Amino acid sequence: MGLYIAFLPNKFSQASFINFLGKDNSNEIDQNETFDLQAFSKIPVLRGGRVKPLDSVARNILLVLRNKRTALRVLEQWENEKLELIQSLKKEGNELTEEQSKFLKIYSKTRKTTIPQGGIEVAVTEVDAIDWLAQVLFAPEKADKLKTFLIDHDQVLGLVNQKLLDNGKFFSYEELEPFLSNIDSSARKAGEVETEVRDSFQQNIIELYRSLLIYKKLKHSLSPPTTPDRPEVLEQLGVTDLIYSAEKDRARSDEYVRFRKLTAELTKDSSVVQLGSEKFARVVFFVDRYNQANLWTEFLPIPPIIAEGDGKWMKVTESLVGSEPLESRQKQNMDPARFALTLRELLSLEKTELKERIAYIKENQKLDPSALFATQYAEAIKVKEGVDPVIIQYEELAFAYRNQNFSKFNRLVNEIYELTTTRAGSTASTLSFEKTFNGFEPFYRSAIAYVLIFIVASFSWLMAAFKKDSGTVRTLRNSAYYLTIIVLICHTFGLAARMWIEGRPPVTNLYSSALFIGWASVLLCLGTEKYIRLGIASAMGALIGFSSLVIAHSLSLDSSLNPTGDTMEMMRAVLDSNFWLATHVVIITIGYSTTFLAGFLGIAYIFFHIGCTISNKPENKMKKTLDSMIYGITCFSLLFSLVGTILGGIWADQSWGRFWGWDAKENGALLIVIWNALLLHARFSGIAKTRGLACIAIFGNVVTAWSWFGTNMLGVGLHSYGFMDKAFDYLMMFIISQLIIIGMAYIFPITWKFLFKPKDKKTDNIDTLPNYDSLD
Amino acid sequence: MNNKINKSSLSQRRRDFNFLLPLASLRLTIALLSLSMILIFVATLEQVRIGIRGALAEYFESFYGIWYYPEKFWGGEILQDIPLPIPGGYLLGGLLIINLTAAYIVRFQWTFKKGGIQLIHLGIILLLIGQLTTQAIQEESRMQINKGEKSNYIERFHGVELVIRDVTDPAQEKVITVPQELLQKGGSHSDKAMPFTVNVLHFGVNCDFDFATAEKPRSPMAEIVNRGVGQSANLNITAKEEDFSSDALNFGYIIFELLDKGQSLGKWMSISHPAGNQVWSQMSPKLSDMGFQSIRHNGKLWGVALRQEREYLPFSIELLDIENEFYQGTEIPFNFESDINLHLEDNQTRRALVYMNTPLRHGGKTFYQYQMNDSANYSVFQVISNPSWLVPYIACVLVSIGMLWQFSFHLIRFLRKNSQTPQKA
Repeated sequence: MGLYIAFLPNKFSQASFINFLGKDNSNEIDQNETFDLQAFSKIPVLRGGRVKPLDSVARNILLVLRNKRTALRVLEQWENEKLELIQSLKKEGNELTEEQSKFLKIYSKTRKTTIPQGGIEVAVTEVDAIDWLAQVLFAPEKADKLKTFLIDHDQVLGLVNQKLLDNGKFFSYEELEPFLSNIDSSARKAGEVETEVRDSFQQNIIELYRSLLIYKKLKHSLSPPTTPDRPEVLEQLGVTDLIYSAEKDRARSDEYVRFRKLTAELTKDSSVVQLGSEKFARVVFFVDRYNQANLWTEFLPIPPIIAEGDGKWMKVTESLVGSEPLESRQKQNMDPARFALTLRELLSLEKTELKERIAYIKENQKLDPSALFATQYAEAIKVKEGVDPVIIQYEELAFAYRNQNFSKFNRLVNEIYELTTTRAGSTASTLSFEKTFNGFEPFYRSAIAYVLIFIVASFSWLMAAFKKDSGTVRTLRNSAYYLTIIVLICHTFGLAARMWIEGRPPVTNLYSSALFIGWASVLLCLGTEKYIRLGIASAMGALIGFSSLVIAHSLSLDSSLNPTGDTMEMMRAVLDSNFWLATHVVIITIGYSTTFLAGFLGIAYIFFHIGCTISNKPENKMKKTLDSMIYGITCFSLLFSLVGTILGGIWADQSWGRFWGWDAKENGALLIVIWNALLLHARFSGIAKTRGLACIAIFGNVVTAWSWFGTNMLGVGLHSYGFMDKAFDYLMMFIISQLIIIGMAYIFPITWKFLFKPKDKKTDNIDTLPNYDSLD
Repeated sequence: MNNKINKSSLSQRRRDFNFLLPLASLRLTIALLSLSMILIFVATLEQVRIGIRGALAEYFESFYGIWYYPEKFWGGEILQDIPLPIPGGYLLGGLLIINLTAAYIVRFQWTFKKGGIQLIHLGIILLLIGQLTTQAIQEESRMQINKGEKSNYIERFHGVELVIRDVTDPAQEKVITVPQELLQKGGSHSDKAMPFTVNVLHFGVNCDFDFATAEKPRSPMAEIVNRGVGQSANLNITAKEEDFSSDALNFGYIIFELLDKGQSLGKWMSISHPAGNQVWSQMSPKLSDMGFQSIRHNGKLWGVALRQEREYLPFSIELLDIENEFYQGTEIPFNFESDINLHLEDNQTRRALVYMNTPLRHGGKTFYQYQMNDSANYSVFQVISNPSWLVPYIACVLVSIGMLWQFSFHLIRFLRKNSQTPQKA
C-alpha cells in the first residue's frame, strides 16, 4: 500500500518510479498519429535565470495563473454526446469498437468535472500543462478558449461581469478579453498604493493583471508580436513587402532572412549609414521593431552559441539585434549626427576588432547614449549573422503543429532537443530528469501516505484503549513504522532530486524550508519510534510531515513569494553561498523541526492526560516515556537552534560585518534558543512537571511559527526575502489553537474532576488561570 | 577525578559565598529568560515603527524601554495609551551575567561529567559580554570610491563634523574640525590655527530643506543667514527629528557666525549630505558649493563645510573595476564585485577582490561590499571596526564543545536504557 502510493504508477501523478529507470513511456505512442508532447516537454529554455525543460515552464506558469498544474477545456457538444454514448454502451456491457475504445481512452486519461456557467452545466476535461503550452505557443486561438485564469475575488469578478460561483472560478483569455482595459486601469490605480496597505481587491486585481501579462508574454515568446504600424507608414518606408504577412509567408523566419539581407548590404557599404538614407531607415525600422518585441517574451528559447562561449541565452528577436544598452527613452538624449558617425566608424572595422571596440565603449562610455546605441546597431548589423537555426526550426515546428503533421512535428522536436541540449552544454544535463521528477510529484505522494500513517497509528491507540489485543496493536504499530520508512525514502528522494537539479543544499527559500522541516521531523520520529514503539512518534511525525507539505504547497501558490511559479528560483547574491546554506540554514531548520516535534509530543501528552482524566486511569508509564521524549528532543532542539543561530552570526559577521544585528529573523531564532533553554531549566529545577513541560513545549510551537513566518510578515530586516501577508490569518489561528490546548491542559482536568468527582476536595483550591511561567 | 572531594568543594563554596545563593537561583534564570523573550519580541515588533537603530537605542542599549501597544493591533484603540515598561538589554544582560557567574560559584559541580555544562555556560557568559562590548564600541562607516580613484578616509553613517580648511597654499593645507559633541553644546569655538572664532547658532542632526519662494519665505532660523550658499541659493530649512529607520537619510545642519576679535564676519549655513557632500552638485548647481563654502579673510582663502564625521586611514584604497551581474533574464542580483588595489603604509600595493560574503580585512577594519552604481561607476563599502569580533567565535567554540560533551552523555544513556527495556504495547 505504501509502496503503491510512494513509488508505483497510480492516479495521483503522471510519472512513477519506473520512469526514472530510463524507459520513457513516450516511446509507446505512435509517432505518426499523435504529437510527441513528452519529448517536446524536455526541450530546454531559460526562465527565471535557470535552464529548465518546457515542462517546468508550463507547470510553473499554470500554477501562477490557475493554482493548478493543468488547464481546463470545455468539451464541444459532439464530444460530450459521443462520450456519454460510449460510456452508456460500456455500462450496458456492449463490446466497443476499436475506434470507440480509443476515444474513451483519450478522454479517460483526464478527469471529467462539470462547472456551472451562466446557469448551464458544461462538461470540461483537464488539459495537461505541456499540451496547454503547445497550444499557447503554436495555436493561440485555441489556447485562448481554455480556462486558464483563476479569479476568486467577488469584486474582481464583478469587474469582468461575472458572479462568484463555487466551482466556476476559472476563465479563459477569450472571456476576459473584453475587459482588458478595465483590468489594466484598475490594476494601475492599485499599483500606486504601497504594497503593505493594499486591500484585497487591489491585491487580487494586480495578481490578475500580472497573470494576463505572463500569458501574453508567453504567447509571444516564440512568435514576436507584430507592430501595429499604419500601412501608409510602412509604404513610405518601403518595408511593406519585407515584413511578415500571413498570406505570403510560410513562417516569420522569412522576414528575419529579409532583414539579414538589408544588414548585409550595410556591412558591404557602410557609407549609406546616415540620416535620410532609405536603406538605413529600413534597418532602423526593423531594429526598433525587434527591440520592442524583446519586451514581450516570458522565456528565452535560443540557447547560447558555442563559438561565443559566453553561455548567454537569447530571446528570438534578441538573437537578431541584441538588446538595447539603455532604456528606450534615453534615445531622446542621443545626438543623431554623432550616432551615425560612431556607427560608420564601427562598421568600417573588422569583425573581431569591432567586438573589442564595442566592449570598450560599453565599459568606458556608460553615460553616452549616442555611442551606446551605435554599439547595438553595429552589433545588429555586423556582429550577428544569419538567422539562428533554432528559430527556423521552431517556426517549422509551429507550422507542423498547425497542420497536424504529426510525424514532422515529432521529428523536429527531436532535432530541436538535440541541437539545444548540445548548445546548452552542462546546464541541460538534468532536463529529462527534471521533467520526470515533475510528473512524479514525490511530495504529493508523501503527503497522502502521511495521512495513511497517521490513521494507522491512531487506530493502534484506539485498539490499545478498548481491546487488550496486544498482537493487533503491535502489528498496527509495526506497519506504521515500516510505512514511515517507505514514505521517508520517497520524501528524501524528492529533496535529493531538488538538490541535484538546483545544485544547492536542501533549504534555499521558505518553500524548501517547509519540505525540509517535515522531512527532518519524520526522520527524527522514525529514530524515536525504533526504540519506543508506541505509535506516538509515528503519528506525530506523520502529522508534522503532512502539515509541512501542505504548508509548502500553499507557499508555492503565494504570488508574492513565488511570482514565477518556480520553487527552484535563483539565489540573491547575498545568500549565494552553498557553504553557509548547507550549514547555518540546514541546522537552524532542523532546530525548527525538532522544536515542532517536541511541541507536537506535548500536544499528544495533553490529549493523553485529558483522556486519562476522563477514563480515570493512571498514566504512569506513558507519562514517563513522553516526558523523557519531550526532554530528549528539546535537548536536540537547543543544540541545533543554538548552533544554527551562532553559525548565522558568523555568516553575518563574514558578509555584513556584524555578528549580531538584532534583525527580525535573528531575533526569532534567538527566541527559539531561549525558549528551549527555558524548558530545560524549568525541568532541571523541578519547577515544571510533565504537564508544565508539555505546555512549555507546545508554546515552543508558537515561538517557532513566529520565527519561521511571523518575522517575514513584518517586512523589515535583511532576511525579509519572502514578504507574505495572506498567511497572517493562518498563523494567528495556529497560535490561538496552541494557546487553547495549553489552556485545556489546565482547565479541563480541574473542571472534569469538579463536575464528576465532587468528593475530591483538593482541586477546589487550585487557581484555574493557566500561566506557563508558574507551572504545575 | 574524585567525586567526593568535588562535592565537598561545592558545599564549601556554598558556605563561603552563601550570599550568592539567591542570585544563582534557577527561578531567577527562568524569570530572566522569560523577560528576555518579551524584550526581544517587543523590540522586533517595534522595528516596524522605529527601525532597527531606533529599537536598539530604546530597548537593547538601555536599562528599560517604554512600550505602547500598537494601535493597528486588536483592541489597539483602547490599549495604545497604556505605557508598559519593558526591561532593557543592559539590565537583563547584566543580570544574566551575574546570575550565571553566581551559579558558577555556588551551584555548579566542578566535575568531569558536568564539564559540558560549565563550558556551555562559560560560552554564554562570553557571548553576553562580547555583545555588550560590541554594542558599546563598534563603529560603522562607509567609504565611497569612484572608479579609477583613490580614497584614504571613511565617513561615519551617523555623526557629523564642521570642518574649516585653510587652502591658501594647496601644498600645506591646514584643517580644523569641530566634532558633533561640541556642536551640540553650542557656544563658540576657537583654535590658534585659525584667526576667527566659530559661534554655533543652530545645530541639528536632521532637517528638511528647499529653496524659499515668495509664497514660502525662509523660516526665522534660516532667515538670519547672510553669507555663503544658504544666502545665495535662498535656502530654507526646518529642523527634523533624527530618523532611525534603516534606509533613512539624515541631513545634519548648522547655522554659525564667524567672529574676528568680536566683530561679525557674517552668518553661514551648511548642510551635510549623508551620502557625502560630493552629491550636492548632482542635486542642483545652486548647491554645488555646499561641500566647500569659500571665505576670504586677511589675504587667506578658507573653506567651511559640515560633513559626515571622517576618519583618515594610514592606507588607501583604489577602485580599479566594478562588476554588477544579474541572472539572465531576471532582476535577481547574482554578483557585486569591486576590484581594488590596497596601497599600504610602506608603499606596497596589494590587489584584492571584494564581493558578497568576502570582505577585505585590513588594519583592524573590515570592508564589505555595500552599494554599487554601475552606470555612475562608483562603489560603496561598509567599514566596520569591532575590536571584540573574536569574542563570539571563542564563545561559539566553547558552547559547541560543551553541548557535544553534555548531549553525548545523555544520548548514550537514553539509548542504552531504552534498548534494554522490552517493547510493550
